[in-house]
Amino acid sequence: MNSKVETLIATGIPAGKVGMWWFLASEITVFGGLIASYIVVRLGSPGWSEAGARLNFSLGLVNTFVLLTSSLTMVLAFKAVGEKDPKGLRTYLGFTILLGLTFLTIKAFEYGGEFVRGYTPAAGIFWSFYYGMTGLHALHVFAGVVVNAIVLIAALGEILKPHEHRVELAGLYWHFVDIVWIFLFPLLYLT
Amino acid sequence: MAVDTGHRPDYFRVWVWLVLLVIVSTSASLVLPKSAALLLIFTVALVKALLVALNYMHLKYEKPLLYALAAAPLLIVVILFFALFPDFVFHR
Repeated sequence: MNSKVETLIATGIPAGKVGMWWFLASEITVFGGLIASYIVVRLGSPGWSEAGARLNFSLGLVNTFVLLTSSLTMVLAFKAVGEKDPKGLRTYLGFTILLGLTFLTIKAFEYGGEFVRGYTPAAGIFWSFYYGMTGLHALHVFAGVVVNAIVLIAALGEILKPHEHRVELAGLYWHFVDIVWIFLFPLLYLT
Repeated sequence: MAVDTGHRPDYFRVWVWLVLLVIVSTSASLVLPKSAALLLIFTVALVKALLVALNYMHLKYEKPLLYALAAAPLLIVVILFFALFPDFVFHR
């Protein structure tokens, strides 16, 4: 592929960016549908707060800070591209990947604790939603880590130069994943 | 084509706001009565999401087309919510 992939469409917006927003629009319906269903089912039946109180609140809170910080490092990687700072780009992308992996490790540890206590996806409707929503979100975090790793490898090999807009596209996806968690955390852990 | 990084908010300041808002919503869940806490928690979540979308995703510098792309699926989700709502909440 060459830099022609960044062709402007008639509106003056790069095609890659429009494509990414189309993709994110489809993702909004996926997570939005899940979240809307969760809220409606929860409003229609009692006992959900008790189930939610059994979650590991501390780990959920730590993961919230981890993901928010990863959004900062991701946008700083994008800023480094504009400032022609390849070292900064590699450093911030590396931190973003590390924070993504930290999030997944904490989530796996949290799942393990819940399984040991018998709170499996079959333990009730709350737990089905909990594992469904956080599991799908974790898969998205994993996908983001893979994409960022591919961009980082390209940056390390000095072959990213004609495709630096990919840092912005990877960032759009990463921030979207952060926004999903911004809603999942209060829905599951705080209410 | 060069990457457009011309518009740059203070990213670190936005992060500080995000962290402060997490602390606010977490404290609200511990201190406030349930209904007041719920209202505050979800208002704060909305503000946090907007902070990320406008500043980190640079939506505030983008053209209306991208706003429309983001808003259309949100509208679909709202329609889904109100379509499901009566069936689950009022059907006992």
